[in-house]
Amino acid sequence: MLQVQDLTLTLGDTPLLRRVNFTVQPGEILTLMGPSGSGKSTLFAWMIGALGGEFRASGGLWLNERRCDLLPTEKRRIGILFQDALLFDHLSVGENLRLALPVTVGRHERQPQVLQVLEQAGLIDFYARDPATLSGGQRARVALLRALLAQPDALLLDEPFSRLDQQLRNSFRQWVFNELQHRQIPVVQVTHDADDVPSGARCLQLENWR
Amino acid sequence: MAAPLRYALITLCWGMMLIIYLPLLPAAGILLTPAFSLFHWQQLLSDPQLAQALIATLISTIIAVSGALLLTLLVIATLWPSPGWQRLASRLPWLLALPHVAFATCALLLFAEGGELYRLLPILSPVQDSYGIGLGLVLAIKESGFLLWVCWAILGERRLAEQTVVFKSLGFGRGQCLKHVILPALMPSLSIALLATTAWTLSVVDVAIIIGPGNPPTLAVLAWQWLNSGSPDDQTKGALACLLLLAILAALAGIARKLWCGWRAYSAHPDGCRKPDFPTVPGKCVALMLPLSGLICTAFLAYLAHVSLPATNTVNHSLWLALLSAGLGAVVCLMWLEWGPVTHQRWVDFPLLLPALPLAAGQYQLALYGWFDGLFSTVLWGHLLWVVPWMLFVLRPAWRRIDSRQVVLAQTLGWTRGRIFLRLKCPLIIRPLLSALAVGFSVSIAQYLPTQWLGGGRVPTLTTEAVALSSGGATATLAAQALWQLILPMAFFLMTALIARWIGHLRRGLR
Repeated sequence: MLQVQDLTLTLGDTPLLRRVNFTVQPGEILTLMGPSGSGKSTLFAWMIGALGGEFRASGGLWLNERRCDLLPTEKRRIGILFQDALLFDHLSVGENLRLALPVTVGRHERQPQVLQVLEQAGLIDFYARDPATLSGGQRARVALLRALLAQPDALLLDEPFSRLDQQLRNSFRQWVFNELQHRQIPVVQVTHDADDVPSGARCLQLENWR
Repeated sequence: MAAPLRYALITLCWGMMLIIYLPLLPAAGILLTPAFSLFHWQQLLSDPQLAQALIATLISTIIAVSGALLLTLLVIATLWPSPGWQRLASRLPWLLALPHVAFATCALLLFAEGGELYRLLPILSPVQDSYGIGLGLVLAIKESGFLLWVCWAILGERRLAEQTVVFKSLGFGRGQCLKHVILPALMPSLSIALLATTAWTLSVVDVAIIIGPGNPPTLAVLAWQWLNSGSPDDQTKGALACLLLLAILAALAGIARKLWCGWRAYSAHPDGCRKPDFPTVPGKCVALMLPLSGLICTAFLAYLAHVSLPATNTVNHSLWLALLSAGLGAVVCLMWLEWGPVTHQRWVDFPLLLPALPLAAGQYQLALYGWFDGLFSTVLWGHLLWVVPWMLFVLRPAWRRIDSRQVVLAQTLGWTRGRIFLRLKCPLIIRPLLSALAVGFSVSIAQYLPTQWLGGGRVPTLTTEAVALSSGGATATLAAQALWQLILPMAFFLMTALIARWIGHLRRGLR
């Protein structure tokens, strides 16, 4: 379970968000909605442990009853997907995914496992491809696979569909929600598009905390 | 802009660059003429000082470059991206503005025989440093400031910072992040800076005279002594020693490239092992000490100088040379960026990548042929060979970042090329231009070889006097020379920083 408790974020003396409280159950996708400048990305930066020095934060982040907000990014076990896929350009698609596999996956199992997830994602024969040659949708799929292969305890989606065109957006959104259904982890997504909210899922307005 | 005026500007631009870079040709002549004679090589190789000088040069260079790189990477792994990194970036000019000679003089007055450290603690005794270890360590600290500054510009990219967050969110620690994300992104640009640092360290004369080994000295100092000698045989040996320095540079660059490729191949497939723990204390200490060393150096020199002041003419020469070369350099650089060629301009960086000795010797030869040695204007011309490429090094990335759509937009408004240059491009790069001016100023202040050779002792500067006094002048006078050599660029850095801050306050988009 992911829990944000009494979070207040300020930029200098200006409060951005006040007394934010929410809980996300394993397997649930919580959507936080708000227009540009409402503090969506800043909230995620705090949750992932990458808040800029100009911000101040008070409050707590709990993941599976472990306090995370005082831990560095690498120890939080929270995955993130940005608008930009942010694939590592010096590695091939397969190497980007191999990198994320846990150490428990043996040396000889790593490549077959990556090939398997690529096939499941409709990206067969993409192992050796240069990330720069992928389309926007393909890059986004690889980025999600990479985040999931690391087996995070929670996942944050920072407007992951906003850069895709409308047609691709619908199919990719469906694919992402299907993928996430198999994992019993709490997921938080921020968006300003009501179409991004999965049917029947909870949706909170960030403006309520301003 | 009318075509004839454009052609006139292009011609003027090439003409200025030709005048500044002309010494590259006699420099090549000086190096290559004796290179094909086996007898001359035998003469050089049979010199009893050569082996020891070569060892000292290699050791000091390897310590300086690898030490600077290690310090830089340690600080980046620990601090980037964090508020601490921003703090370090704002304090880095304390070290950057410090000329090498002033830093070396401070080390000399502290650690050499009879230095303050041994006066305070007589129980300690200075060790004989015939391998240039002290020289290497001093340069490692100083050059780490330069490498951090180069990295700061590259690490400003938001995308790289976000990639780092993604990588860390996969569970990898700071050290692994440095290895797999930051270094591959940094290395293409950092390798040029490392090559420039290696070239500079190999051929440094002024700092090596002050704190390098004495007898035999480093190969660069030996080459300088030979080139200064009246004997043609010695001059030939000096030219060959310069060629040897160039060969060492090529060999070191080749080895470093092989090591990098080998390491990349070895570490291309991470095994998934997460090492989230990374000791941050050493990196934080280094980040604190690097800028602080600049302040400590200033305070120490001020304490030793007491009330001594350098001769007025040396301060005047240094100040005017620096102001004029930075100003002229800025004009040349801006014209070159606007009206120079878009591609094939790697040769412009040659003075940064080649040992300075043969270039200064080439300048000297031209000055002798033209009967214009010993003049202030000749020394100014000599300084521009290093000031211009350094300023271009700062300005070029900012110039490339100018959004071409803004230029197109200006063209649709009917603006001429000249107007776009003056009213759009120049204001957009005003802050990098201020940084370039500060860099050009301090590069000029630090010039020793061209000032010494082209000035022929008639244009003494703070740098030439500090080097001359280091071999036996009064401590207070030496400290005063070094202090003023430090104060001038620091004041200029401060002034440009304040102007840049004011501009950033007025126009946030220019930050």
